[in-house]
Amino acid sequence: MRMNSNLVRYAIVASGVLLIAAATYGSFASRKEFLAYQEWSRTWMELKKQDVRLNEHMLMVRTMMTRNYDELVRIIHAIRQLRRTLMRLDFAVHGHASHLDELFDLMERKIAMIEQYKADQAILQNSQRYLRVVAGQLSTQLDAARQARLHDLEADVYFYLSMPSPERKAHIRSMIQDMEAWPLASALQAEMQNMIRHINVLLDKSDYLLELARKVIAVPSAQRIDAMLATYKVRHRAQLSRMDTSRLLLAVVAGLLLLWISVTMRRQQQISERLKEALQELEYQKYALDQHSIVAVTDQRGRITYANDKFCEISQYSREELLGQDHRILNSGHHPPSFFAEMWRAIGMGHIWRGEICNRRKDGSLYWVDTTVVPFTGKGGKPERYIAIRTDITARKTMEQKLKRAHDEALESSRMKSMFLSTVSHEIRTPLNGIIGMGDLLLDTELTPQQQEFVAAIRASSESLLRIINDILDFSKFEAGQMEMDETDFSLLSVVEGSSVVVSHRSRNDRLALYSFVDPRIPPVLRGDPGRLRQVLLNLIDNAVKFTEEGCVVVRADLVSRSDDRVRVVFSVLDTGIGIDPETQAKLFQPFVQADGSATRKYGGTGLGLAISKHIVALMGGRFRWRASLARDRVFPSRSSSRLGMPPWSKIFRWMMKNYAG
Amino acid sequence: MWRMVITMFWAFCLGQVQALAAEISDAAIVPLERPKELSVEKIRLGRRLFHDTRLSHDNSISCAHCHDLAHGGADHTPHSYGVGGAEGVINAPTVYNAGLNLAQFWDGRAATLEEQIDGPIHNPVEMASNWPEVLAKLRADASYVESFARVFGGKITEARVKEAIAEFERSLVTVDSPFDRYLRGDATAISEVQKRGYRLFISYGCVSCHQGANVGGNLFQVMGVFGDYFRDRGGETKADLGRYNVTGLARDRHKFKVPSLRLVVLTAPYFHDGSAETLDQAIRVMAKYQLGRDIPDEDIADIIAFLHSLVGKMDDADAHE
Repeated sequence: MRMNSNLVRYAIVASGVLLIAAATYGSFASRKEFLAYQEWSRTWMELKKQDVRLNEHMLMVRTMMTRNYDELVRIIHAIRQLRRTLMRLDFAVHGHASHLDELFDLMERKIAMIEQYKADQAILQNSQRYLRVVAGQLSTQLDAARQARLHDLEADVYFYLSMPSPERKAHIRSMIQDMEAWPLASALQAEMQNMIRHINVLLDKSDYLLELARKVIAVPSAQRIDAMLATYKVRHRAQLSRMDTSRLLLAVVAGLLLLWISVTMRRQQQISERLKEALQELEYQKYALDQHSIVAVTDQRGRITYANDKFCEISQYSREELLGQDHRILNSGHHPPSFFAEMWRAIGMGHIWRGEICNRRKDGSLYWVDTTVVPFTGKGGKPERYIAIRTDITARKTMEQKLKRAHDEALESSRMKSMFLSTVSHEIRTPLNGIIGMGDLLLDTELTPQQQEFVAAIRASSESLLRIINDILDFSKFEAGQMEMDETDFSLLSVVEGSSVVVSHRSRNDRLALYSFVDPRIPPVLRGDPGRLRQVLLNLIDNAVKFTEEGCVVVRADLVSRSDDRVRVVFSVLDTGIGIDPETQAKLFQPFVQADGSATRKYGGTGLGLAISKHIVALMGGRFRWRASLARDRVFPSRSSSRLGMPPWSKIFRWMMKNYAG
Repeated sequence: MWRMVITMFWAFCLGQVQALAAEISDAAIVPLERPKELSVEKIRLGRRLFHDTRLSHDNSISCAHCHDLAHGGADHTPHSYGVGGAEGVINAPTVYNAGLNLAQFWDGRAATLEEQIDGPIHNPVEMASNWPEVLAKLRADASYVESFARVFGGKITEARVKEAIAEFERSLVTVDSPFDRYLRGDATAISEVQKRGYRLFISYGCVSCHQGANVGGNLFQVMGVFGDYFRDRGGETKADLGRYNVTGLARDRHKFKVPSLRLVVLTAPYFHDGSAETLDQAIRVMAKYQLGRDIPDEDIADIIAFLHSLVGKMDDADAHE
């Protein structure tokens, strides 16, 4: 396509140049033609002049104004010379000269008649001159009467020569007949016969020459020349106007072409400027790339054909050492052969390959490069050469390795800690259960009130310790990733109600009301882990009760959505307690954190409960959300607790129950 | 005073009339003019070619072989001899003053000197050659190549060879004869006998045909106006038909170019057939067949004396250098 447009462009330029050359040649040619025409018309005028002179001299010869024919010969030579010139010029002006033949045939006929005239005129002159001589000689030998007759004859002949008429000719002939009958001596008779011979010549030639002279003058050569000149002038004018038209046309074409060329040149210039800019941009980019990256170009067999300074610098090889070499001189042995085989397979198919490669410097030390290999495909879709752009990532790689090691160590120590905890708490729980059991048994025996009080204290402390240990055990299970969820059918209602009842028994606070509500749209039987759910709810309700001096705590379970095999439920625990500020909210689910340092002292607890709950909810596919404000008036219209200083807080979690048994 | 003015006026008018009379020259014979506007270079080259035998097939003869410049520009045999001794059919006319002729050859078949050259080059009984052959020979000669390059600014061509030779021939004008000096006003240039011969030449009517600067050469005339020359001579040949061979016209039968008499005393034998060995014979034949009269012996001698006065300067190579 591009080649075609180039071809078209070249063709246009070439044809334009040809046209202009033709126009230039044309103007030269037309000038030449004009000069040729000038010479041609000059020659015609000369021919006309010579024709007139020919007639003039013909008349001069006839009237004996000239006694020699040299001038006639010169004129005829000149006319023939003009004919040759005209033939040559007509070839130049008209391309052919055949039309001249007619005119010059006429001219040659005229010349031939003149030649004939010259010959006969010479004879006539001779006889005319001799007549007087011979008549003079004769008359001396004749008698007076005959002398007079002879004299009359001579006069009549001369008279006839100047004014020829048939009557006089007949008269002369009769006189001659008469004279021939004269009885004369034989010598005289011969002389008489000779004279008569000359008179006959005179009579014949005189008529003939008169007629010939008339014919010569009547030859319409002058008219022919004029007519020819006139037609040629007309033709020449037409040719001139034709030439003007074609010249105008050529000028227009040349102008258009010039316009086109200038437009094209302008466009080319713009393109080349843009190209230059792009090249410069590319140069900058290459410079920037060279500053940042290691750039190498290899041919299809992997031999290096280009290496930038950065490459030499980092590999410690000089450019001479690199060029023509294989990249294998950099092979560190870090990667298995299959790694490179995979790379070659990818780039061999024309794909861009990215990867991190460990290379070996000249001095044997290793370095890492982030490598991008871009294959450039040539004709036939096969890669012709590859450009590899690499970034030195040795520092990052070292850091990564350090970090990974540190991370691994941290993980290991955490795991060890959890293992230790779960083992230890298990080992602690066994004797603790022993203590609780024995305490219970002890309480059933007869004891003094003081003893009973002591045993009760032991039991309470043991239970508290057990709860702490259970929490730690759970938490360490999460940490160790050993927490597992049950999947059994259960009643949500009983779980929620049961949790509320357990807490209400435990709290024994008269100023606090505990409500629970379960959305009736929730199916009665669900599938999941009821124990863990209860644990979360207990934890939240415990918290709410713990931090609420008076008022109420509401536990709700609302249906969010329901599909064929899934139910989405929101559990909310709302209270009228002291509330929690936003900074604390963010930290609250982290282990060993409590809402208030002082509150810890006051309310006790490990601070693990919410952290565990969060893990459980996450395992069940739910999440926690804080609701900052509670519309108390609406929920508790009868018992507004305006006495409370802090806004009430609420915990809402969504818990998605997998399946429910129908 | 008035008388003087009137006398001067008459003198002036008389002068004008005389000048007019001189202009419309009554003189049948006029002096030869030295040719003008000829190229010395071409003449020199033409002279060399004119004398070069390579123009003939077997390199045996040159133009000068038949047109001997030292002897009147003609050979002295009735018919010329060409390559291999072949005998021609006609008497070679002089090359001198040929440029003034109305045409070339006895029958005038060549209009120009250039055209004339084709004749002898190709004629098998003359040079028996052709232009390719001649040009090949000339082109092999470095000195010719150099000369043509200098004179014509180009290589050797047929047209240029002809032009050089013709230019040389045009230069061959026998000017400054005693008779021409006489015509120009030198009364002592010719003898009284010659003057008488001149008057006889006119009165006998010779001058009717032999006139002009070349004393002939400017018209064609029938051989045998009074009487049949060819029947009387016998053995009529094709060459005897003369101009008829060129035009095919009946009135051109036995018509020939009237030859120049400028060098006639040097170019015996005479006529196209070379039949007259002496001038005396030739004049008698002319008187009988052309003039229809007899001329006495003493007049013939005087006319011959006159003809001797017509000879001017012949080619002198140095004159043109």
